[in-house]
Amino acid sequence: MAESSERAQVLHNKMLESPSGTLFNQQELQDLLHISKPVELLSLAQELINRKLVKLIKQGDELRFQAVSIIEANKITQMTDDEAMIYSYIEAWGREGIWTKTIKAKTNLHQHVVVRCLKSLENQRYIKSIKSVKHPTRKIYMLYNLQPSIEVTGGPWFTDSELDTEFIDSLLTVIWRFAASKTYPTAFQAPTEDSNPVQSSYPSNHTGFVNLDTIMEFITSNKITNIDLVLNDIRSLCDVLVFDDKLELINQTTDTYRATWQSVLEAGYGRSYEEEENKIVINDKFRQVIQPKSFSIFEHYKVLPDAEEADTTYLDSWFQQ
Amino acid sequence: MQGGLSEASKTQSPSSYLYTCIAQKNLGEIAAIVISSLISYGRLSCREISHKTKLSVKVVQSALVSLIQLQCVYYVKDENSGTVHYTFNETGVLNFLHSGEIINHIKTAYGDDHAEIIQNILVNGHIKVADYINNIDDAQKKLDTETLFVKLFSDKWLVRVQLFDFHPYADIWNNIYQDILKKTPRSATTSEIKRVNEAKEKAKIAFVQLLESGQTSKDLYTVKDGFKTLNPNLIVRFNLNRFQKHLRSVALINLAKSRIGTLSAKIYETALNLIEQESPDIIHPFLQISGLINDPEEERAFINSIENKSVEEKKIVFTIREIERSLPTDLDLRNSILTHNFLKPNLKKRVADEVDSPNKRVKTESDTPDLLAEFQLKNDIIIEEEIDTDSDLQSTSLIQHHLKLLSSGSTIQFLIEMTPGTYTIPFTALIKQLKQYNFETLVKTTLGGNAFRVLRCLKTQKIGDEKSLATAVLLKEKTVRNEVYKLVKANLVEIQEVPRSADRAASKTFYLFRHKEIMSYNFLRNALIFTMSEILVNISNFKEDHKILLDKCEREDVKGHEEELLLDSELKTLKNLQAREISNIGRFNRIKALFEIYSL
Repeated sequence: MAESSERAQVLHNKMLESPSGTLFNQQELQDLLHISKPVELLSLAQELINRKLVKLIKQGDELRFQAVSIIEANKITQMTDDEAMIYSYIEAWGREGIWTKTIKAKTNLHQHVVVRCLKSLENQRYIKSIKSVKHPTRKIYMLYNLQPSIEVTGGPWFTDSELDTEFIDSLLTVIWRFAASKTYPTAFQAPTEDSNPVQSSYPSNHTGFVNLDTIMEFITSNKITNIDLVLNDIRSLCDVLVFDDKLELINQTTDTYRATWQSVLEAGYGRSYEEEENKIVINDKFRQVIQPKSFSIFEHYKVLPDAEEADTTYLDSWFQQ
Repeated sequence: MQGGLSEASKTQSPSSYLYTCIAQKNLGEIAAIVISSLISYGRLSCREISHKTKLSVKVVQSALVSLIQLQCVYYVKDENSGTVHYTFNETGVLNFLHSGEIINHIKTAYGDDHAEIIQNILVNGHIKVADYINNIDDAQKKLDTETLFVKLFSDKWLVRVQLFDFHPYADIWNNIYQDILKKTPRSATTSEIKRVNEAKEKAKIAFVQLLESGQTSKDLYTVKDGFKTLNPNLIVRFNLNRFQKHLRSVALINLAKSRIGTLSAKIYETALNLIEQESPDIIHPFLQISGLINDPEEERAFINSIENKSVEEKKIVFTIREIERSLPTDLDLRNSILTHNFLKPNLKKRVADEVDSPNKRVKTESDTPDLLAEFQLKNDIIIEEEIDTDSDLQSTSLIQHHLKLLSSGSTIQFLIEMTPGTYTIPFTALIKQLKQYNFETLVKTTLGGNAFRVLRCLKTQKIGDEKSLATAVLLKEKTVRNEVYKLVKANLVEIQEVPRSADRAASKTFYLFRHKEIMSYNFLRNALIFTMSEILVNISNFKEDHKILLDKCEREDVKGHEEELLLDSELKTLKNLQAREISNIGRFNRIKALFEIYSL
C-alpha cells in the first residue's frame, strides 16, 4: 500500500505539473507513469480519489481526471459530506456565483441543511456571498478567492451593485473637457493675440481630434480613476456624450470624436469676448456686425427667467388644459 | 350683432384660436367671428355666414370686402348657380402675425422709406401703385418713391396682384383640370388611368402658366426717358412667401452659429442673402392643392426636383468671389482658422522659408479665373502660410476655409461644394436637420438634460425598452422610467405594447418606445400656436384689468400731457403695464420664431 501510495503521489505530482484545471483521460494518465495495464491505474486513481486529490469529471461520454491541490484536498476532507457537495457546486459555477435556490434544487438537500452548510463554509472563509446587479434580491455564493464576473458586478459603472452616476458624470465631464480642448483649444483660455476671440476653429481637414485610444491614454496617464476601464467602456461613455450632443462622431470614422460648439457655449466657454473686462479684444464695429439679431433657441443660456410669474406660459398648456 | 365670438373659435383647433385672436386684435370682433365661422365650416356663402354667425347680411358683406382686400378670405363664384362662396385665407392673418418683424427687417435691410411703403401696403392689403404715388405732393419725393417701389418689387418683397390671387388654388386647379379632362377624348386604345394622368400633366403646365402669367417686363414696368418705373396701373401686395424665406435663412444661420461658430455663421448669412431671393418657395402651390400629390415619396421627389431645378438654373449657386464682395467690411476673420503652426510655433519659420514669394503674390493679388482651381491643389503648408501672412480682415483663403467648415466641418452639411469655389445650399435636407435640432433643444430646455439624452438615444436605437435605454444612457432604470414618462406625456414618444403570454396579461407585457418625427413636430407646432394665442389673450386680459386708466390716457385732453394730469401711482402702473406688455410680446416673438421653423 505504501508503495502504491508513493506511486499515487508521483502520479498526483505529475498531474499537478500541468497547468491547473487540465483534464486527463485514462490513456494520458497511463502515459504519465508508463503503465500499460488499466487495472494498475485503477487502484492508483481510486486511492487518489478517496483522498480527494483527484476529481472525476464527465466530459461527453468520457470520464476525465483532474488533479486537486493538497491544500484544497485538505479543505474538502475536513468538510462534512453535505458541505463538500455544496462546495463542489459552488466551485463549479465559478465567477458567476450560484443562487441558494439552485443549490437546493441541485443537491436535493433540505433548506435547513443548505443554510447550515453555507453558514459553516462562509465562517471558514471558503465561500462568500455576493450581490448581483441583474438579480439584486438573490443570495448568491461563490468561492472566497474569486472575483465576481462583470455580468454579476455590472462592470465598472456599478459600485455595490448600484449604478454610480456620480462616477460616470465626473468621467463624462473629464472626457468632454479633454475632447473640447482638442477641438477648440482657444475657447478655454483668455483671448490671445494669435487667435480670433469670436471663433477659432481648426480647418475642416484637421485630424488631431480625440479617438478612443487617446481618451484611454489620457485617462490612464493622468490616473483619473483607479478602476480598470477597457476600450468598450470608453466607447459607451462617448456614446452617452453623443446622446448629450456634447460630442459628435466625425464623418467616415468609427471612433474619432469632435466636441460640439454648442456644448462649449452651453458650458459657458468660448464667449469671453462678451464679458465686460474683455471689451477691448474686438473693436466696436466688429462687435456690431456679430451682434445677434434674432432669437435663437440655441442661445437659451442667455435668456433670463421673467420676474412676472403670472405671465409665464407653458409649452404643455394646450394638452394639459 | 347678437352672438359674440363663440368658444368654438378657441377649441376647434389651436390655429383657429390664434387666427381669431389676431383678427380680433387687428380687425375687430366681427372679422374674428366671420373668420372663425369660415374656419369651422370651410366654405360658406354670404347668406350662410350671416345665418351661422347671427350677423346681418349687410354687416357680413362689408366685413368680407375688407377681409378679401386684406387677403384673409378667398372667394369663388359658382358658374352654374351664381352664388359666391367664401373660404378662409391664412396669408392675411400671417401678414398681421409677422407685420412687426417684416417692417423691422425691411427697415434694417433697406431703410426707413422702404419700411414706410411696406407698412402702408400691409395696412391696406393691396394697393395700386398710381394711387400711392399720386398721394405724394412733392415731385422729388414722388420720383424717389417710384425708385423705392422698383427696388422692393425687383427684390420680390412686393408682387403683382392678379385676379387668381383671390381664388383658392384648389378651385383654380379644379377648373383647369376638369376643362382639360373634358377636352381629352376617351379612346379604346388608352386606359382611363392614362387619360387622367395625361390630363393631370397638361393641367399642371396650364396651372403654372397661369400663375406665371402677367409677369413679363412689359406688363410690370414702364420706361420713361430711360428711367424704369413700375407700371402705375399695377396693383401690388406684400409677398409673404419672400419673408418666410428670410425667416428660413435666419433659422439656418442660428443653427450654423450654434454648430460651427459665429464667424462661419456670418459668412453663411452672406451666402444665404445672395441666393435667398431665388431660393425655392417654402411651399409650392402644387403641395397646397389637396389630392394632387398624395404619396409622401412622390412629395419628397417633387420637392427635390424643384431644388435640383434651381441648382441647374444656377439660381441657388454662389461663388467664393461673390461672398468676398458681399461680406460686411468690419467682419474680422483674422486668426479664425487655427493651423498646425498654432500648436507648434517653431514650425512657422521653417514653413515660411519653404514657400517662395511669387506664390504668395499670386494668391493674394491676382484675379485670374483659374485661381479657384489652383486653391484646391495647394497643399496644406501653403494655405497655412497664407493665413499667417494676411493683413486684411478677410482673405479669400480664410473665407474658403470657413466655407469648407460649413460644408464638412460638422455632422450637418450646410453647404455643398459643387465644383471648386462654387457652392449651393441643400435647403430640403437642412430643414429636416433644422427641425430636429430645434426640437431636441426645446426638449432639453423644457424637460431637462436627461430627457434630452434619453430621446436622442431612443432615436439612434429606433425602438427600445427601458432596460436597453438604461444601459445605453448610463442612467438608473428608475430615472429612465421617469424621463420616458415625461416624454410620453408630452406626446414625443410612442408606446408599443408587446404581450408575452396568450392572455396578454398586463404583468407579463413589456413596452417598447419609439419616436416619430412628423407626429411630434405637428403636435409641437399646435402646442406652440396655442401658447402664442394664450399670450395674446393674457395681454388683452391684463390690459382689460386697467381699462379705466388706459381709457383715460386715450382721452384727447390727456394725450401728450400724461405727466401733468396723471397721479404718480397711475404713471407707475402705466409704466409697469408697458413693460409687461413688451416682455410678453418678446415672449410671443420667441415662440413665433420656433413656430415658424415647424411651418417650413
